[in-house]
Amino acid sequence: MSPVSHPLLLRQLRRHFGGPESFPEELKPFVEAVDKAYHDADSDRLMLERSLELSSQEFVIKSAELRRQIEERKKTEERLKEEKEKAEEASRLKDKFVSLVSHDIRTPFSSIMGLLRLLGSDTVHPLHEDQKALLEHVLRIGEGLVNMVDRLLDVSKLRTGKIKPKMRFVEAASVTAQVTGGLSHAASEKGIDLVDETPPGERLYTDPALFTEVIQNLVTNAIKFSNKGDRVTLYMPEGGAIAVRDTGLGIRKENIPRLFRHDEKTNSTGTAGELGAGLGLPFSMDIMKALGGTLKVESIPGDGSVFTATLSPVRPLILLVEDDELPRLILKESLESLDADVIEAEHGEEALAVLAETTPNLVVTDINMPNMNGFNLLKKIKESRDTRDIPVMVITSDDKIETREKAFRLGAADFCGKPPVIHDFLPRARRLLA
Amino acid sequence: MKVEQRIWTEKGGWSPSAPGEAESLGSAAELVLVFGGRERLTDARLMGEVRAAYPSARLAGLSTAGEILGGEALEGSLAVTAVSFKSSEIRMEQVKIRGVGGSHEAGQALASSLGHDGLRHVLVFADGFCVDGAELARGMWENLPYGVSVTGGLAADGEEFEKGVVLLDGEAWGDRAVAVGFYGDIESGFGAGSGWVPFGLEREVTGVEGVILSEFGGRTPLEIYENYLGDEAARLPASASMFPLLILTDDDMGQTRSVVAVNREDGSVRLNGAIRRGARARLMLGGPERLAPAASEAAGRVAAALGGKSAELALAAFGLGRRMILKQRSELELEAVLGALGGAPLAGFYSLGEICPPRPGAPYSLMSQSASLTVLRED
Repeated sequence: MSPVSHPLLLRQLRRHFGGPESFPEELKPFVEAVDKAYHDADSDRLMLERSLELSSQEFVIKSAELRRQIEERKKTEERLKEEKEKAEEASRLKDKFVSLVSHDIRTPFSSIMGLLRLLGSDTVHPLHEDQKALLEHVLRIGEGLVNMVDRLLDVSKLRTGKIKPKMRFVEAASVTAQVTGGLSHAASEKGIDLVDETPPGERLYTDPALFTEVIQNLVTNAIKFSNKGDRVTLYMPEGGAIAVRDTGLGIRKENIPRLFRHDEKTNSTGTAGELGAGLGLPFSMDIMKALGGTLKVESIPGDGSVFTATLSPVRPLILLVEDDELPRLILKESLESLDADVIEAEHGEEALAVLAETTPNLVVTDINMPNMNGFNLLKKIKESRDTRDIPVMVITSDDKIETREKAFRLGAADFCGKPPVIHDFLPRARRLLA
Repeated sequence: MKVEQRIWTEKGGWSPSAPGEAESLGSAAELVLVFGGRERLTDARLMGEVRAAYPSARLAGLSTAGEILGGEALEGSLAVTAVSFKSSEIRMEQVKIRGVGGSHEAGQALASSLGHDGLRHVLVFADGFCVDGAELARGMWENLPYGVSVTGGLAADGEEFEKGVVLLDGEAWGDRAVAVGFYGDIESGFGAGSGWVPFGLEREVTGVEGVILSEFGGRTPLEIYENYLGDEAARLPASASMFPLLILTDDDMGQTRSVVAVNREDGSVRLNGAIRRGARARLMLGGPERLAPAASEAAGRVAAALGGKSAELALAAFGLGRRMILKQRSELELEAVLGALGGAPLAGFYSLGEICPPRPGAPYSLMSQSASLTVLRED
């Protein structure tokens, strides 16, 4: 038997030597080595190809696996997105529903309350004493219900975007005075000391009605959860914030996160058995969020609580009304040195258009302008409830005493000659911004 | 340093001449390195001849998966290299390895038992079937004086992969490690070449307990090896040497590991050194065009480590996988190495793992399927 088995080598031996049999005996080990080398080369190649093929297959399987994972992830993401949209839609519908229902309840309920009051004030057929007591009881419960429905309406309006905060400047002390004025009776009835430490002259940039509602909620709660001899204090811990501190019951730490949630019911019965819907704090939180602020609470059970409503700090905004371009540029630049944003208008009409959109902290206006002069603008500003608190500074080259008097009579906060002397004008503008 | 080499093969007996015949170092020899098939090292008659020829020498060696002598690669032979030193001295110690888990401790004990005064280099041979080579090397490195390096290899068993032995004087032992310490005016150089190329998927090592690898890339190693080896799978575990593993971890840019045993029941394999769970592993493949040049390049670097002076003796520990891939071309690799070494006598063995720092000054390292070289020279 031939020791050579590789077909190529066999063929080569046949072609060139007439076959392996005719190969000299002493060269046989050599031919065997060559034969082995041929086989080795083949098997090496086979192994290499096998490795290549297998590893390619593995890559194909791996990439299919990855593709499947990516598709699964995409599907999951889509599902999550759909679910989120559904949830949001459900929430919107719910708010809308609450709003509608509340409204439908409120209207007939107001009539019922009115009729009941009429019944009580009927002097022709006066009620018996015990009937009166009953009626008063019914009215009290009814008022509570009306308040709750109002609150629900407010919540849903705020959440459905029907209420948009109207931001303007308001004196902090006037907010707190309004609140303490309305609640001093309730406080003194419970024997609670209600103290307002808000300093005068501090201004807040907010929606006064909504912010007053928040402070009112906080003080109502403070009174509700305090006992005779306790004290409720309103103060400003920092600029742009009002805090309500009480020495009442305090809140357990684990209950604090639940206070501000609409879907959580915390204990809403006061120390004197006052009832509530538990909507006050969640609603206040909604308001503060809508105002771009925060509502925070610190409390020690047994020692009382401090609720702090903080408004977002704002860069003052100045509306500059002047028809001449060059003086307007100079004024704008000097006003901007007060760290304020400046909006420009060329005349009174344009200024009113701006005021309909935003509430600046200060209006600086010229008198002689086309399309509504400064006096008319001043008049309009002071006539509207939305803008009358904005200080107006009049600048004019007409420095006659009558002009000046007219400006002040119409409600201007300050008057300055034109061109203004910057080192005189800027401090006065700054004072009005503060 | 005087070096004398001879080889015994079943076919040709002793070559160039029997020990003791003709000119021989005889009793001048102080160290005899013996590399051979397990059956040769345990052959009392053969070993008796070697001992009788060099009556004053200490004998050290190990069982191999192939012997290297000069440019020749052999199997089942007995390669003998006798050395007499000009002035330097040697000392030999051995330690029992108490299970794979005892490898680190064995390494520490072995290094401590060698005298440290004047110690310049340590050569180590360990039974590759019962040791974590990386831990043994780490243990030795920890207990050796600064600047003294360890090189050596793990005893193999041809392609049988049953048991390995190390040789200490006339006795062949399993479960042991032998160290030869070189003292005095002797210089060493060392280094290793690879030439293996990682390919295919990077697989996460999900199942490993020390040196037992049970799962990587979601499959058992046996499954992967059988797949890649095809017909060659019949030669497992030896044929796994043709696909060594590159182990990657976040803080280590690549250790190499090789299979020393296969468990057909659970598909796990035993490696020559431990790896960590969570490491990533890739298979590597080799071809003659890369393996041989990597070896000769390493040889060039190692020769240069002696600062221009030529080596007097070169020792090679090469991975078995190289021979399995290179086959008849193994000797081409050896000849290239010989050329790069500048003609120093070369003795060595194919092993289950090579202990060799990647470069002078670097700490211990267990290499797999590498071409690692140690050169010695007396001044």
